Amino acid sequence: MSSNKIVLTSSDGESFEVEEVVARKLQIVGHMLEDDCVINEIPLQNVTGDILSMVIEYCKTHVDEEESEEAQTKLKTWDEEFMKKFDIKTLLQIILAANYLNVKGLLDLVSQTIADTIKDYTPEQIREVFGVENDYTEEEEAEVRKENAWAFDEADTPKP
Amino acid sequence: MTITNLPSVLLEEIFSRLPLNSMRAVRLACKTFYTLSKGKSFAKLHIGKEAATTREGESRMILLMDYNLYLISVVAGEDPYIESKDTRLVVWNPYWGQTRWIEPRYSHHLIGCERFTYALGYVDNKSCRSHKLLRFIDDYFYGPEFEWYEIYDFESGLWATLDVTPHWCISLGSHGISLKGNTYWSAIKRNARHGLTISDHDHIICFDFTRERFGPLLPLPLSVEYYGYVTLFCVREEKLAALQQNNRWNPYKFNIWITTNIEHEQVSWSKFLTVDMGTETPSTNESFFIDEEKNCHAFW
Repeated sequence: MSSNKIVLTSSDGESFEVEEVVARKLQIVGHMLEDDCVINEIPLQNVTGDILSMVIEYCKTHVDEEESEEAQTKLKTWDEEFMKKFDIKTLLQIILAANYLNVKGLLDLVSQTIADTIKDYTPEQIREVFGVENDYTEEEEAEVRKENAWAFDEADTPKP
Repeated sequence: MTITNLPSVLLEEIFSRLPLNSMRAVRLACKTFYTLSKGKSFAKLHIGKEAATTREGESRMILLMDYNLYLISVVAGEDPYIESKDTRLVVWNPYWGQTRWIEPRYSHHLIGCERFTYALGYVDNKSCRSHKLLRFIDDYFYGPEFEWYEIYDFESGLWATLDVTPHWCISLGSHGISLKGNTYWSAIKRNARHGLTISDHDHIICFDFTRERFGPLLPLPLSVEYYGYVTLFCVREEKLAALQQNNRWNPYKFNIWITTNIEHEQVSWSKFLTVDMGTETPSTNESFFIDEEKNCHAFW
């Protein structure tokens, strides 16, 4: 495995020196390297240093993705612990970065974490946490409630 | 930084991981989320995620039991489900949470109640499926003979009467099974009424929703004797299975057959398994479920 080092630079000028195999986990970087350019320093303009460092931490951990069940379980536990460190705002920044840098595994992980967080939220909580405005008129909101009432009313719990 | 800054692909990525029940709050949060949750690309992603979360070999379906709908580990398909109420019909699409109330043009009471048979089907156009509802009454057993076949088109919202001369007979209350947009019933030849009971079905018949007509009577693997019965079921949206009890002297033993090829005008069968229930007799018209790979079955 190549021990070539690559320097990734964030939008706010922070630099990270990483192994090429780690950098390649960022597919955006992988594509640049495949274009045969000899690059040692890559500027990443849409990510700040603090977010980039977290993405790199994820990539370093996931650099050797072993097939064995034990290794998979270990990685899964690490993922869970890793996600616990962040609040929802940070998660949103990480998902944007994962999308831009094209790190599929991280994108899936963060999407799932956000989904798990909001799954029991009321519409009000969703608006509050994600900072969206209620742009329905009263009539429109009543209409949407009515439309969804049938589908989502919690009827009796299904019996086997 | 708020979630609305996220491109819609990322919003879809997140919302598609939510259970269906949580989508209500998302839709109510704001119009942007509502529009997104109703989009085709979101539906595809959501259905894909649902499918991916099922364990290998697991099937999910919607089951109607004692007038209640149950999600038995599920079908997250786009197809709606039918329920009948008084003289109006309601068609419910559980995925979108939409309902459509349909006024029938006529009503016909037979032995005191509405005895129509309903079937929902679709025509597979390139871009989307256009759904139709078949409704018929074919009073053959309780004479005087009366038959009425009509079809409702969801796009135009119009009923049309079908001109059919039935050479078949589908018994009242027989459950049609939907497969690839068409519906199949167990049936008998029309002139075979004498000496047979309504459960003595030795054929199946298909209503082709594209051509809006019934096909020929297709043979079941064994002809059924006096006390025999047949229950149909769909296997993974691809095949039809038939539970056939055909030995009047041993009602506890029955065979399950699966189609190896099924079109609206032809069918071939292979035997899946033979079951001996001991002294427990399954009654007619029960739903059943089979798993081809695991070679098992279940009844409701």
